[in-house]
Amino acid sequence: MSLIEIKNLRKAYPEAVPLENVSVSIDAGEVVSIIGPSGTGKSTFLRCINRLETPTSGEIWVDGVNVCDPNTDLPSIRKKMGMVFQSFNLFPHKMVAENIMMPQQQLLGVSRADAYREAVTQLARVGLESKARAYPDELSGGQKQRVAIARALAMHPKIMLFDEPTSALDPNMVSEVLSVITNLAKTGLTMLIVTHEMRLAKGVSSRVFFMDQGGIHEDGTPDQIFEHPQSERTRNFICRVRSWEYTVTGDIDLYEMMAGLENFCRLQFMGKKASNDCQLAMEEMVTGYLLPVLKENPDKSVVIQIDAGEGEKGFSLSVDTRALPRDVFLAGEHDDVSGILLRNLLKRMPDKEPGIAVFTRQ
Amino acid sequence: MRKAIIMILITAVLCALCILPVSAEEPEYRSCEEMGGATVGLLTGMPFENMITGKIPDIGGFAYFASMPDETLALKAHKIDAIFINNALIDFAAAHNPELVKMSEHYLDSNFGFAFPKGDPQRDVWAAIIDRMKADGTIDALWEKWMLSDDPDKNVPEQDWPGKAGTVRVACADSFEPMSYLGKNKQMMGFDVEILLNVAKELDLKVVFTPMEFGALMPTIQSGKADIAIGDIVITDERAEIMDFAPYAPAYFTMLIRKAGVGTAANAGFFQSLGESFERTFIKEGRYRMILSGLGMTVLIAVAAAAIGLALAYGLVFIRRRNNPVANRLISGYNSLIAGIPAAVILMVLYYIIFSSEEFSPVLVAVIGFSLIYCSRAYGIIWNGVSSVDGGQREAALALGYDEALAFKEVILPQSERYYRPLLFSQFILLLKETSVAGYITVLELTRAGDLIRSRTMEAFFPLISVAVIYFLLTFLVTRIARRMDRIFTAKHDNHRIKGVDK
Repeated sequence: MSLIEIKNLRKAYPEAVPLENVSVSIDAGEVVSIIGPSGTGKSTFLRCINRLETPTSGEIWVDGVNVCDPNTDLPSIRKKMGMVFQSFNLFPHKMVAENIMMPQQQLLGVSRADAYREAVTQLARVGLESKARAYPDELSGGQKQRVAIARALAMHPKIMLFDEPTSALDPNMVSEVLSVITNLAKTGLTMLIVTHEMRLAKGVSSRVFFMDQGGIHEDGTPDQIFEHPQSERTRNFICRVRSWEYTVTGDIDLYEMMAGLENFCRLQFMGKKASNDCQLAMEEMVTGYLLPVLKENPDKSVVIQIDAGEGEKGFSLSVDTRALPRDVFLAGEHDDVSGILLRNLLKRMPDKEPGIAVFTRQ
Repeated sequence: MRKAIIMILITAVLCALCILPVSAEEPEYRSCEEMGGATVGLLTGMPFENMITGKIPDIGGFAYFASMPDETLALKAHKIDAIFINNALIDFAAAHNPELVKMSEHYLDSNFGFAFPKGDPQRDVWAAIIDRMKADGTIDALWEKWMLSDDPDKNVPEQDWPGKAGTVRVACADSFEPMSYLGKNKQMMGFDVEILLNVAKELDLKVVFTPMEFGALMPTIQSGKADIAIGDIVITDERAEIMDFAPYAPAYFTMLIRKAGVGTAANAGFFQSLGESFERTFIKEGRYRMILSGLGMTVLIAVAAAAIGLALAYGLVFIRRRNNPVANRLISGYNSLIAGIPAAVILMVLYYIIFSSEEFSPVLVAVIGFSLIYCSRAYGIIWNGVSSVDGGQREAALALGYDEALAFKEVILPQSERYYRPLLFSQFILLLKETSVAGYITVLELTRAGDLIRSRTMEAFFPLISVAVIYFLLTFLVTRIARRMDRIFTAKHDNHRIKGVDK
């Protein structure tokens, strides 16, 4: 029997059925990333496994025990599964080391001294030895999440469950948590990770579940899922996460637009140069070409779509100007700074459809 | 500093009340006809408004008081213009306040009587003996002794008879000097008390007195907590409907009024009179002992009620966490009930109705009542505190392998505790002050002790200020303790030392 064996799992709420007839088995040592659109039961699936959610029907066997059986001793089975939450959930009234010691002492009967030793070991593992005596509110988000990971690890679980571990973090703190998880994946620990972070799913997992419409829609290696998705839905999702759209109007909020673009570049693991170029090009495009026309025509709007290309460098930028009264990109009309800058950054492709200009960078 | 100024201000106002101008000779009113616009003082519960309005159609209004000394003070301070009350209290007040005088008209001629439960055969036995004492002049002699004599050291007989016929439980009014009052050494004194003891001696009955406010007498008899009620009870038709009486002295009602003219009381120097007041309030008859035992009772009730109430509150919080709809409904019903009824009423309902059996002493009932009150408030505070803890905390604990109870005890409760603990302390201070209503069910706590001393010294200033100061010091102390605990807690939090690891 596999370490985790799920049979006909169903979870229904009065207004929605996030999980319908899910059956899957996961072997010891597998690192499974669970991706998919929002609201498709990824977190519910994970939370059913340690019974933070109670399934409506079906069976979940973990290490030979059916956790859906009402007679199951839940605390003892939960001790075998560490869980890391999106919102960290450190105990705020305890210091970092105490956060890690307390469950060991109270649940495993470990002596105070041994618990402390273990806490220090686990903190060293996540690079936070020096924070043992800090309170959680003295830590950054990334540090809190690393402590949460250390706290779970100190219980020596057989399985680690990660529920969107980087979603609540500032962008500049994602990396520190990702590298801890990446290192953990190499130790042979069985891990299930619900994530929107495609580089995590692609980089560390041995297996990827694409969840949609109440179930595991596609199940395969990262290569299969990301490069050769079998189903249309998977392909659409992968493409969608690889492109970004923004509608520009006369009263645009430039800061919001740039922040969204920056986040997209980061998620697409574009290189630093490509990411900078992309942002610069976008800014010039909007301020130099589109806004002057849009200010004259306040009821019009322009849709810009950015697609990340293969590798770390390429991307393309397509501008749908069909709503505008004239072609703003007629060659030779713009010899000002914007024009020169844009031409240097991107190459304009021959139009496939009139009114949709496509620029690329290889 | 500001506290001191406020204290001085209060002192000044109260002094002014005590030393108001008083008259010399003629009464302000000769008859009721002259009393247009006057405000008449009544003891709470005396049903004479219609009758008085009949006599004085253009009366200014009524004011209600809990005790005769309060009324007398108000009359002397010109807050009211007359007191309508029975002859015994009037004679006594007029004898001890030269500036007050009795109006000559009589109303509602009746008798003073000992009250027995309706249909109690004992009444006839007692009435027969009392009739004999009336005939042989015993009662007249006692009236002379208690009402008119100036002997400062009056006593009632010791209960030196064997008491073979058993015990009689007597509820007696505790602030109706000279009829029935709590005197030196917390002993029951007065005209009524001595007559009762004489009869009891003849019947060879031991007497157990329970002093209480006048208003508590009838409910105590009706609920069977006492066999006889005494203490300045005038037999009226209304009272005779619910109780049987053994009459022992003639009673009538009339007005107590001031003498006319604006005179100034012969004031001794302020500090001298202060010294005398102090002596009367604390030293005489060992009254400080009454204050001390009242203080002890207040603290005992408050601390016991807070401890029990807090334990119950935690119990309720644990039950509430199970989220059983029936239990939730019950808890919220209990809370609205307690929140919706004044403490005094809760105590009286408990004492006279729910725990009416005599094995529940007033102190026990007070502790039960205040425990219920504190429990309800503490529950609200704790539940609010734990509810404000993020749900993720519980999930994190469960995911680590805690069961619900342990997660609550080790994770949720401790982190909300530091926020709700100060609120529990302030509720405790409230409770400490609220115990002053325990007097309603005959508990002799601090406020009641002050009232009793007031009823003996006939002055407001010293007993009231003393009680106020003691309450203030008590609450001040509790606030200090709370602050101290908070500081210890913060220091422990801020020193960043792991218990058992760092030294």
